[in-house]
Amino acid sequence: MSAVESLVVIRSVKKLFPVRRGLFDRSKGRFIHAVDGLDIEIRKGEVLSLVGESGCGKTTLARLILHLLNPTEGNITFDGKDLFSRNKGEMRKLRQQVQAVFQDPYASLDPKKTILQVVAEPLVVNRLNKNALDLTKRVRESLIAVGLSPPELYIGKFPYELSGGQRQRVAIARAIVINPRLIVADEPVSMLDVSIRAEILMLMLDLKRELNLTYVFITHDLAVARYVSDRMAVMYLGKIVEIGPAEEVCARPVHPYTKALLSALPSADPRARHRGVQVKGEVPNAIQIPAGCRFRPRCPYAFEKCAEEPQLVKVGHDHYAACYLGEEIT
Amino acid sequence: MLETNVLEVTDLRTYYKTPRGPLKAVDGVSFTLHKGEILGLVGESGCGKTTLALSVVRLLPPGARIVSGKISLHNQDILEMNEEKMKGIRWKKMSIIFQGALNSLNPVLPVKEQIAEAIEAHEKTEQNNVAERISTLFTAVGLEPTRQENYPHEFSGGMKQRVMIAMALACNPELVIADEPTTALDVIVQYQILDLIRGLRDKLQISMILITHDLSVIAELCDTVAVMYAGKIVEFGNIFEIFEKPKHPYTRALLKSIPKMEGSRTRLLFISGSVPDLTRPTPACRFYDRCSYAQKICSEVEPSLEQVAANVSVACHFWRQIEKQ
Repeated sequence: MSAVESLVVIRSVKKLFPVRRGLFDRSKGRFIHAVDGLDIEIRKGEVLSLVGESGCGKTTLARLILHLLNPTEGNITFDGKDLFSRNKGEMRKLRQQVQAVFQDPYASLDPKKTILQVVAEPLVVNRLNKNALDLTKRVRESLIAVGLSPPELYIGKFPYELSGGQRQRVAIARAIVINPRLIVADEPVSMLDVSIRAEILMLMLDLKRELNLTYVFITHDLAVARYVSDRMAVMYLGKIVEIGPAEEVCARPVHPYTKALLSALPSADPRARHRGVQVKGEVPNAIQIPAGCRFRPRCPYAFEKCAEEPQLVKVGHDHYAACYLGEEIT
Repeated sequence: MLETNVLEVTDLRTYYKTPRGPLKAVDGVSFTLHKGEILGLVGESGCGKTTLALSVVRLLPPGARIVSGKISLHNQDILEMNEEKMKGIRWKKMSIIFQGALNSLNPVLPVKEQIAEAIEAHEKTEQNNVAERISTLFTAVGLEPTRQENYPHEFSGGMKQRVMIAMALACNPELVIADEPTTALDVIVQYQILDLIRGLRDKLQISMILITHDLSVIAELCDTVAVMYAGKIVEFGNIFEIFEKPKHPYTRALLKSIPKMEGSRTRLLFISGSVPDLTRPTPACRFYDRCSYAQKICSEVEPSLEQVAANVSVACHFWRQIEKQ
């Protein structure tokens, strides 16, 4: 693992949200364990996807990486430097290198700003533009890079004048305009129509190559994750239960939860229909995390040993899973 | 009309009134749905699939109007009926699960009362009878009958969708229309709901129209599929035929644009451009601007939906060439 350089290192990070108390609520001191003691490295130049069901903590993890949230415990370093250091000037510089693309291009672009203002915003707030001319030049370059050309056609428009696909391109243009090194994309295509999805995915992969970017790609769609990413991390109740090369994880999943996710996936081939659900129930709430292996109550393979929480162990080349069955396989 | 035909839609046109003139959301759609059949209606946003569904149950929003066409449910012309008669049809003969219905349950009433309301509004039944029926319904959709006392916030997303399905089935309809029933759900829950729908169909022999933008949901559940584009059905037929040998360039492109779980990760194909503005005059073939096979004739002569094989109809001048590739 040490052969590849890490861009972001996340060490035993926890993020707890207090449960809001009502008048008669007796839940004093209870917390939602959104991210619950998580270690992961994001390697330079890779596309790492985070997959899992709603409430598994993938968006919280993304917001921690984006510095939109402070961790309750643990630390996150970017290029060797602490992302949550006290030095404001340094923090500002680090944060410029991490940009975000969000799910809903209808909500993430300010409706009262022109496309020029939207895309220029990161430059303006970080005081990176030399003058107005330079600002427009950089915005234009960025728009061309995302395929909105000629840029003159778009620069004076407002978001409502653009289609969903075009809006998401604008959001990407805004993310790359200050030359970040890492882009955190939270479900960037799930609001888009099928025919546009592929177009945006291709664009993101092309930009990654051209601009030497690293991506953290959050999605609930395993087929999209497999398609775009080098490595895939499967999250369940605030923890990573399996991580490894994307194709490997999809072809030879080890953790029962990964297996369940994959087998529940509807196939695009009507001849490959499947019957018989493997996993019963739904994800429990993240307030009372089950003791031991957190998947134990739903796991068809659970046995006595699972009362003790399993750690991630190597189950293949660069492939790790947090399950005792994985140990037995290798 | 055959005995097994449940729903027959002929040349249906539904337009919306807009300041820029009529928006032709559904523009000449015909299809037949048989008993016990699940028809998948697939297409991008704005292609008219929801408008088509709302036309069938005659619950269109203000400003929308069925301009022409015929909708027959068991040989009864729905468009001829007055609202009073229509009330006797809705829920009892056909019901609809709306898009985003998970959030349309009344938060201050136990779900039991909400289902009872639907039953009592459409049938004259005894109080005891209603309670018993709700219990049976809950069992049928895989919920504990005791849960009917609960309020909506006490249910998870998947369970709320089960409640919605129970409500749709409350008066034993023959036809259920489900608009994006699993879109807001996670994969495992989605699978459980699809499995439930499949089981109910097998058991009750109800006919269904399943509206979704997700081709793999269609592949998983449907018997026939109708691909809609800009207010028209461009390809219709047996699920296997269409997924294996798509003949319309739009269907082909859609199928090639989704990432697969198997095979190598080759470049995805995508459809450039966007859906035409349906308030403006469209080219003869509405897919003309985005089609890689388009020729002069496509801008002049509108291709009609023609039966080209036992179970397949397609609206394209060049389907023969496309099929061979």
